Amino acid sequence: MRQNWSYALAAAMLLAGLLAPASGLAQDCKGTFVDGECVEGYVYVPDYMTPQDLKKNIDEHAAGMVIVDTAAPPIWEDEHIPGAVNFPYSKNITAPVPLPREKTLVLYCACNNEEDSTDMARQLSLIGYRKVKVLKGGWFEWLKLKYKTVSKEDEQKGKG
Amino acid sequence: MKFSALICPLLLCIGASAADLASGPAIGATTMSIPVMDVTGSYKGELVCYVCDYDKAPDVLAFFRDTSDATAKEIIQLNELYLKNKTRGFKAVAMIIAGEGAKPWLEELNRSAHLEIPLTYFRKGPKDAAVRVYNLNPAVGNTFLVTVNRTVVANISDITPDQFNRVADATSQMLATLR
Repeated sequence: MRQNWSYALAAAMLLAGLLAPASGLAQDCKGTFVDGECVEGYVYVPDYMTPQDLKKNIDEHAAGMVIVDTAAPPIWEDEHIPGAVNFPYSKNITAPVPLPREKTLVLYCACNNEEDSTDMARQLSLIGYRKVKVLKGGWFEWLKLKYKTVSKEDEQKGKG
Repeated sequence: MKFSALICPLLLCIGASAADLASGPAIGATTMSIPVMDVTGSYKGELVCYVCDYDKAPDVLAFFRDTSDATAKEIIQLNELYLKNKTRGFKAVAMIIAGEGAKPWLEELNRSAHLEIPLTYFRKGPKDAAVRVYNLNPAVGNTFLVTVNRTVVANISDITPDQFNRVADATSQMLATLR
């Protein structure tokens, strides 16, 4: 009986020893956690892609790229950039995120200054997404350039 | 007796809340971007998203089913609310669900009432996807969302111009929390 208590005490001390540095690190971090690491002076700078470059990539069926529309589902269903997947805007993205890490993500939104897509790109970078681009001018610029758009229905019918 | 005295007002309160949520997203919901056609604002003649533009600022997003005398009065009241609070970073926008047919009416209202808030309409009218995004009930004449930091803090719908004080009060309460 006494031996059992000794084992329990030793296990508790070991666990406390393992957890203490991690909690200490969290408290000591004066910067921003980027993919689990504390980075001091971290400033997110968006990496932009122009609509012209995106169109070129779509036309050339470029591999390794996923276009991400941050609109609410009904907006995306109604009209979006061909091939874009829907990942609606959230103020607090939490892992797991259903987007591939190994591909280049090109985020866009229907905002005047890419507010939503930039914020989403920043949040994705904090959870370890290294290849995230923001479409310069977003949805409105895409429409101004009269580039092709599709609906969910179009894509289901194979018109995308 | 005491029990019913406690419960009845509570039920009335819940009933009132349910009525308030007859249209629009629930309190606590994130406001999503929606493109609207700007008629009188700084993006006049263009598609724009005022939800994104205002971003974290305290604001009122006002949706009106169609143009009417009551809508005109409420837009003017909303503009007055904006003028009263704009120095505190408060914003407001009026969006007509009915669509492009509202454009001349909005232009005339802006001319006659000298409004500062942007007047806009849904590009695709009542079939616009924004109606579904914001869960706007076609049976109600108006929906006012008081929001801050992209979060709905009050949802007031289907009111008459005489009841606009409810929007003003909710706005005051929100602004008071930001001091």
